[in-house]
Amino acid sequence: MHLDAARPKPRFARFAGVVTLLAAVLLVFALQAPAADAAKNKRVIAISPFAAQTMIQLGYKPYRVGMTLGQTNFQKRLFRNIPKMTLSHPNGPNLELVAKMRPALVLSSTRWSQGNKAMRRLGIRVVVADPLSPQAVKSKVSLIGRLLGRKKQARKLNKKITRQLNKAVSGIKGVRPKTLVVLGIGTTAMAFMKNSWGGRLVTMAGGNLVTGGASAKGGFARISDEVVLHEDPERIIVVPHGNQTDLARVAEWVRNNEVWKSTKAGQTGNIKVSGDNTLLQAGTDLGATVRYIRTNFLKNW
Amino acid sequence: MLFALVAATCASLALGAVSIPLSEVIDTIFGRQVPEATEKIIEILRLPRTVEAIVVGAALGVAGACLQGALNNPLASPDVIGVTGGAGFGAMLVIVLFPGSIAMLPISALFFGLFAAAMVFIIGFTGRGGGNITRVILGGIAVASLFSAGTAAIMAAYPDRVPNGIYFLVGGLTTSGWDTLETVWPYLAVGFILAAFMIRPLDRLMLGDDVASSLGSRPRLIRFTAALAAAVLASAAASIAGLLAFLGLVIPHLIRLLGGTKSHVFVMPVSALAGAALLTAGDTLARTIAAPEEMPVGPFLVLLGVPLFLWLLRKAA
Repeated sequence: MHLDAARPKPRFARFAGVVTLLAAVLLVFALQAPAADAAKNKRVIAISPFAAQTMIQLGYKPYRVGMTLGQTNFQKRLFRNIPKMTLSHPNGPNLELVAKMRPALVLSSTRWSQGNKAMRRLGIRVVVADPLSPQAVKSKVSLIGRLLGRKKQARKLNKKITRQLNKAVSGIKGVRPKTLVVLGIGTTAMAFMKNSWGGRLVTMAGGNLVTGGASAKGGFARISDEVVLHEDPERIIVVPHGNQTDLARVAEWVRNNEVWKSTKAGQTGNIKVSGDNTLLQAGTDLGATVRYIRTNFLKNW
Repeated sequence: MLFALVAATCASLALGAVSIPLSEVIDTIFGRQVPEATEKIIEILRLPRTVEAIVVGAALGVAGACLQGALNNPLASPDVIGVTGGAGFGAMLVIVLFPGSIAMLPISALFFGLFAAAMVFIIGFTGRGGGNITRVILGGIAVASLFSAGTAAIMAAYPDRVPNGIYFLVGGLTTSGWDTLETVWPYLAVGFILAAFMIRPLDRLMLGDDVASSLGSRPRLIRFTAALAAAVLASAAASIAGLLAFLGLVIPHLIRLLGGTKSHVFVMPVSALAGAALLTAGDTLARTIAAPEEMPVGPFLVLLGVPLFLWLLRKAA
């Protein structure tokens, strides 16, 4: 007779299987969790407004949001509780301030490439996460989601973007109006080319750029007014810089432009001024922006 | 030089981003029936722009000749009396900080150009030892630096708004129709008239202050009036076409080297013709070389003018 067999089993031994299973489950969660938990505490600076917008939509509050001096109106409501960081130097942010903040990650854009290099020299992790075209938005959302440990939320956001965009571009039919999109308000305004953010959005919204298939480095080029007169655009969209209070006067000035007022757009009251930065600055609200273009400028909604 | 100007004017009217047969250009100018688009392109765009190029080129050529004569310095140009720096500051102020007042751009450039020149004149021509050439030049360099620093500060603070101002800073004619010319023509007229009255006095000044005084001239007044004419012309030119000070520096030298004389009776009117011809030709090139894109004319002027200038300089040496 085996002595052990006669010895009664301790009480907990009866639950050993359950306990082991529970421990294994907890271990799996423990191994999975650090990335997300650590990410929660990370100081992530979003230099590009797109990154900031994406972070907020993924439920992750940026430590700082970068803003150029003239950009105070952009996403004013969305960014209202987030400390701002001025971008007014070729580097972008003040590097000493960034170094002092000891961020775990800086989400930047190609525009601040000089500053990106400098921040990397300071040992700061910098990732360029700004899309150069609407088509690249979803991959950048995924990238940001991956970096922040919010892959699931990123997938969800991407689905939402696709759904909204599909809805916004549906029903575009008939002749696409010839459209000139102009940046700024200097005496020599620059035209949005097909490879610019706004140019692509206007095309998606059913506009036909007067600059045709021409592209330019940076997406903008000074186009001859002779071409504007010759092409005779039916819509002219002006994307000025400046404050909201300047818009009315800017609109009056562009409508009195000697060349533009003699085009079809001028004669039919279709010279319009964009009141925000959505045609200039990448954002995740693609569907809303396309709808805005169709409703306010192209009038094909 | 007159022939060069006529040729440049014809090219400016005939060439552009949109190809228009020469016969249609001529028909438009003489008011005959042409397609509507052609009429608009010639009347709204090419004609005012050609006139602007002629006027601005002539103004800068005369301004340079006046200043080099008045200050007896071969390096004198509208930069030296602060006009360029002031006009650039005035333009960037409106473009970058007050975009709602963009219609005021020519006025602002004109005002700040003249304001900078006034500062230089107060420093250079008043008080003890007023009218001293070195003092005027050093005062001009200091004032120009002041305004250039202001411009640079504005540009650094608002980098995203700078592209619209670049054209002004590097110099380029625009297609604002007759609007800008209508605003600044009185200043141009005053400048040209003053400069015309300075031709003989500047020739006397070339003989030296003592000789000029013995001939009944007042060197200090001549210098001041000639510099004032140059300031008015250069400011008005800058308000139309941005900063093209290179023309004011090089054209009078070119004319002296080509003509073999320093007399202002020759240098002043021929500088006007040469400046007009060079700017008109340069602008045509800038408009057509990468059409439908437009390039700023400033760099083209340098590309056209510098080789010719260096060749003449070497030949003269």
